[in-house]
This record gives sequence, structure tokens and C-alpha cells, in this order.
Amino acid sequence: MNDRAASFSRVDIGLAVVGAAIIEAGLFVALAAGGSPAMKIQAMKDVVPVEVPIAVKPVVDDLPLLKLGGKRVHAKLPDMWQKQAPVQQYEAKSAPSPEAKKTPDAIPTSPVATGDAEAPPPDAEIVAKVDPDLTQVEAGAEAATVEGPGAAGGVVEGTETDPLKARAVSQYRMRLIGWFNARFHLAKGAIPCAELETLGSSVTATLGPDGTVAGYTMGAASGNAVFDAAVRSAMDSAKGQQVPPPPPLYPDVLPPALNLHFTKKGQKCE
Amino acid sequence: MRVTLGLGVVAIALSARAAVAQPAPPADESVLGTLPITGTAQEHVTTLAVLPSLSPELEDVIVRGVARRDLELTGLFNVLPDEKAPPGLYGFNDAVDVSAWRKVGAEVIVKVAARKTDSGKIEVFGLAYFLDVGKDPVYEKKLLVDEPEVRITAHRVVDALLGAITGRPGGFASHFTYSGKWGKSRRIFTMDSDGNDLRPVTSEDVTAIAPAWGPNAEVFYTASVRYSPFRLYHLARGAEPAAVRIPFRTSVYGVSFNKDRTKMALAVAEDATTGIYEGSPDGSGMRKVSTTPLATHPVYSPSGKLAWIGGATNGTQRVYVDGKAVSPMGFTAAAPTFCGTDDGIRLVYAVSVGGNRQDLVMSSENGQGIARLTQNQGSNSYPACSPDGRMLAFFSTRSGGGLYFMSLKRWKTQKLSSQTGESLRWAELPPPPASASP
Repeated sequence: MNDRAASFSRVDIGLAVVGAAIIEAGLFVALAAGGSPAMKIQAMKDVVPVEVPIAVKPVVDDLPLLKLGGKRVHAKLPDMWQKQAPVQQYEAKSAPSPEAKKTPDAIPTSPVATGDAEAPPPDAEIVAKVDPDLTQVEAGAEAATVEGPGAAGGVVEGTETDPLKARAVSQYRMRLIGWFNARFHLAKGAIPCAELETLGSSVTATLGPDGTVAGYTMGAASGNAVFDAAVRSAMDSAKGQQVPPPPPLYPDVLPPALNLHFTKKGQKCE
Repeated sequence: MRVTLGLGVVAIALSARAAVAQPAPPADESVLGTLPITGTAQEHVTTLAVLPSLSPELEDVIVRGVARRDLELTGLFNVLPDEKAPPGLYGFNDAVDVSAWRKVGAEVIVKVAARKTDSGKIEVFGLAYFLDVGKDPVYEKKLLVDEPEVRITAHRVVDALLGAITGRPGGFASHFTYSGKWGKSRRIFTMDSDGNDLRPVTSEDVTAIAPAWGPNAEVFYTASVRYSPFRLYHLARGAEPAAVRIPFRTSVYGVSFNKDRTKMALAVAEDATTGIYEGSPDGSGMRKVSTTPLATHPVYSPSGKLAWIGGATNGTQRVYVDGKAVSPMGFTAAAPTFCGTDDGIRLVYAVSVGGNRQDLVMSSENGQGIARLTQNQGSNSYPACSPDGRMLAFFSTRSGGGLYFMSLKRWKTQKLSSQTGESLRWAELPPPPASASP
């Protein structure tokens, strides 16, 4: 048994051992190098931009630059009030005309003009009855028929015996009427004239101690929506405003409530 | 229990129904009655006649001339010309032919006359007739005065007659004060409301500005001597000026009093600004009331509100009433004044309109409803209202310049005087002495 020849010589075995040792050592070194902390994955950092100065050469544009500006809005005062010339009234009269239709409906209801009366100017105000000229009013020199305090020109139903107060109150009343009149507007043609003549609306305006219109209540409405809206609009515009103050000598004539009756009866209608 | 509840419900229902079915408000039993509103502007101007006089006496001519002019100036009446007077007797004691005057259209007749009495005094009287009442006068006013007082007394009689005819006494028995140029400085002047009795009341070596009528018809003004700060003074007629004790060492640029002269407002310099202070007319109890960085030209309204010209650091000038701006933005406003008119209190002030000119505008007390009073008629400034609120006076450069009257009823303007100046103020004269009533 001992004489059997060996398969690998001692040199072969030695070389194999050395080779295996080298391979193991290389593997060990490779593993040690792969587990080193220097090989850990780190988070990516933001790239900080670096300011790099550059040279800029201005280039002249052909178009001129726009100037800062604009149109200033100038406040404007209202124009001064100008007195209007009074409009002369003419009474509606009819005159014979060859162009008149020969039907009963075409017969005018206004009185016939006398003689060769001239036609009124085209822009004249035609009314059913011209306001009486005070200079033509005849003196009514009638003796008083009622004895007692009062005036010869008074009426039986009158209550005021002080003519000064009666006059001041009358003038104040006209001022109040004018104040409310300035607020009552109805568009032309909004209501047919025949219907407008029949409409009326009652309102009670309550006044504050200083004469401010504090509120109002509609009494009997006209039934026409347009007319009643105009009345409401007039009263809304009066609300919060002060009515003209009473005459200083009669400060007690302004009541806490005013009764108003809005109507267009007897007014010019177009 | 159920029956009681049921009856209650029925009672409530019935009362509710009664409330709904309530009739219209009862007829207006006030003196004004129901006002018919038609939307049509109507105005009736009363036709008034001033009885002519054939008396050659100077006092009678003066009284009648004054009365006619005053009544025409108000714009309240259509005053009949003397040519329309019906033929008749016009002596002191002759009766008025009411029916003849009615035929020429008169609705109101005014008779004014003056005659010398045995005591040497002048009896001035005025009568008013309402032709719709009868042939007897409805009002009579008599005053007994010395001869130099006749003209002023005629104004007093007209004021009383206006009170009788309209319920609002007139404001012709009144006087102006203003500051006017005199050489290199300015003096305070006073003048009656008809342009008579113009007189300087401050010395010519003192620069005096911003006058106002204070208590007892004394003139209050501020004055500076040789560039010293402007101090507040008061001046009674015929007396020497006296300084008012006020707690300010800086200049005072303006002074104003309320209607009953119980409050005084001052425009006082403070560092580089000015403020409005309010207190008693004797200078006590002063406290700051203005709210704007700059505040000048204080003035009270008849209702007691205080107005001033407030300025901002950007150079704007607006009218402030009780701390609230009431003049339109964009206009430089100046010299506000208040008028207690028949239609309520109105604020009048001047606004710059370019070309170194000013125009007058009017609005309500709170600035609403602005209307222009002057236009294309020179520069118009420093408005002042008559004590009755019917007239506006102002300085204008039109027609050579001067002091002008404007009727706030008819908007007619008339030249009163050729004097011009600044800070015009108008106030009633003190009442006549008790001895004037016969």
C-alpha cells in the first residue's frame, strides 16, 4: 500500500494551498472593502447657484417712452339759476275752418272766438280758463253781514280771527305745498289724461320736533300703480328732510302730522 | 275654561278685524288743513302798494323813501309804482281809499309817515291794510325818536310791517362790519345796512382783521401792532378798544359768536397750524373743537352748529360743519355763512373757480342741494346774511367793485356801496330804547 505512487506531488499541493490562500485573502479584502462606512449612500445636496456678473450693453429703442399722465377729472359747479320769462296763457277757443270735418264728433266744445281774433302763437299755453288778472278784479264793497270778531272778507266756516296770523299761515301753507310739489313728478303720458284727472291719493306725513319728515302712511290709494308709485317716490324723497320752518312769529302752526292729497285734477295734461 | 278661551279668541279676532277695517285718518283739523299736492310749481307774489305822500317835510320823505326801498329789496312783493296810485287825498290823517287801491291790483297797502311833535321829537309810524280784510288797518306801529334816528327808525318800522305781513320780521334795522384796506394796513369799518354811516373804528397804525358783532353790539376783532401776534379786542361804540382775556399767546385769526351771543369761537395759531376753540364771550372755558389739521373762519349757524374752513396738509380747503366736510371735494371753499331763510337754514360760501375769481354757492345746512348764486360776474366773496335770512350781501369785483345785495327770494342783485374788503359780517341793531314807544 505504501508503494502506491501519490497523485499530486508535494509541490502541487503546496501550490494549491498557496493559491487557495490567495483567493480567500482576496475575497476577504473585497468583503472588507465593500462594508466600509465610506461607501454609504448620502442625500443629494441642492445645487447653490453661483452669481456670475455679466456685462450689459444698453440698446437704444426706436420708440420713445410713454410719459406718465392722464386726463384729470375737473369737478364742475352747477350753472346759476336763470329766471324764465312768464308764459302767457290763452283760453282755448275754436274758430270756423273750411278744413273742419263735417261730423258731429268734430264739433269743438270750447267757445267760439269772436270777430277777427288772432290765433295764439304756436308755443302758447292753451288752458280752459285763464287765471284772473288781479288788476281787473272788481272791488267787492259789501258790508259785513255777520257781526262779531272776524273780517268782512272772511267766510262763515272760518276759525281764525287774527288777520295777521291768517295771512302768515296762508303763506306758510303755500310754502309747504310748494315744498312737496317739487318732489311729485309723473312722467308725461304715463297715464292717459282722462284717467289722470280722476286719480287722487291721500298721505299722512309725520314730522319730528324740528320739522323733519319722520315717516308717512298711505291713506286712500288711487288704485293706479304708476300714480301711487310717484306718490311713494315723492314721500320717500321727503323722508329725512326738513320742511320749511313755520313763521317765527307763529311757531306753533306746524302740526306733528301733515295731511296731503296728491292729485293732478285740473292740471295741464299732455 | 274652554268657553273662556273660545270667547277670548273671538274677542281677539274681532278686535284685529276692527283694526284692519279702521277708517282713514280723521280730517285734518290743524290750521293748515289738507295740502293739495299737484306737482306743479305755483307761486303767488303779493302786490303791495306804498301810499304816496304829498308832505314836503324831510322826515316824511326819508321815512317813505326808506320804506319803499326796503320793501322792494326783499323781493317778496310786486310793489306798485307811484304812477299807479289812484287819485285822492294823501295827507297824514286822510283815510285810505281801499276800494280804489283794490281796483289797481293792490292786495296789501302800507302807509308810512313821520311828523314832528310839539316836543321836538319825530313820530314815525307805519300801518298795514289787507284789502281782503277791510278798510281798517290790521297793524300799526308807532315810534317816537330824535331827529337823527329817523332813518334807522324807518327801517325798524319796515321790519315790524314785514313781521305783520309775513309772520317773519324784517332785518333792515341792522349793520355791517368788515375789514378793509387802508394804506399798507387794514382797518375795521362799520356801516348801516342801507350803506349809510360808514366809519372806520380802529386806528390806522394797527392792522385789524376778522371783525364780528359780539354781545351788546360790540365789535370784536383781532389786531396786530408792528408785526406782533394778532390779539383779540372788543370795542363798544364811542369807547376805546380793550383786549379780551384769552388763554392764548399765539395769534388769533378769527372770531365768531352764536345767535344769542353766549358762545364765542376763535381761530388760534398753534405751531404751524391753526385750530378752532370754543368758549364764553369773556374768553373763559376755551376748548378745542376743530378736527382738521388747519381750521380757520369759524361761524355759527342759527341752529347752533359750528362751521369752519378746514384744510388738509395736501392743500385742500373745505367747509366743515360740526366736524363733517359738507362742501364738494375738488373745490377750494372759503368764508362760509348761514342764512335762516323762509325755506330753512342755508349754507352759503365762496368757491374758487379759476382765474383768481370766486363765486358764491348755496346748499342746505348739511351740504346737500348745491346751487350757484353768481356766475360770470367778476369775483364774488365774503357772503353775509341779513338777520332775517332774506338778503345776502357780498363783495364783488363786478362793475367797478363794491358791496352788493342779493334777494334770496328773487335772486335780484343790487349795488349797495362801492366799498370793498374782507370778512363781512351782518347783525341786527340793538333794540330801540323803551322811551321810543309813545
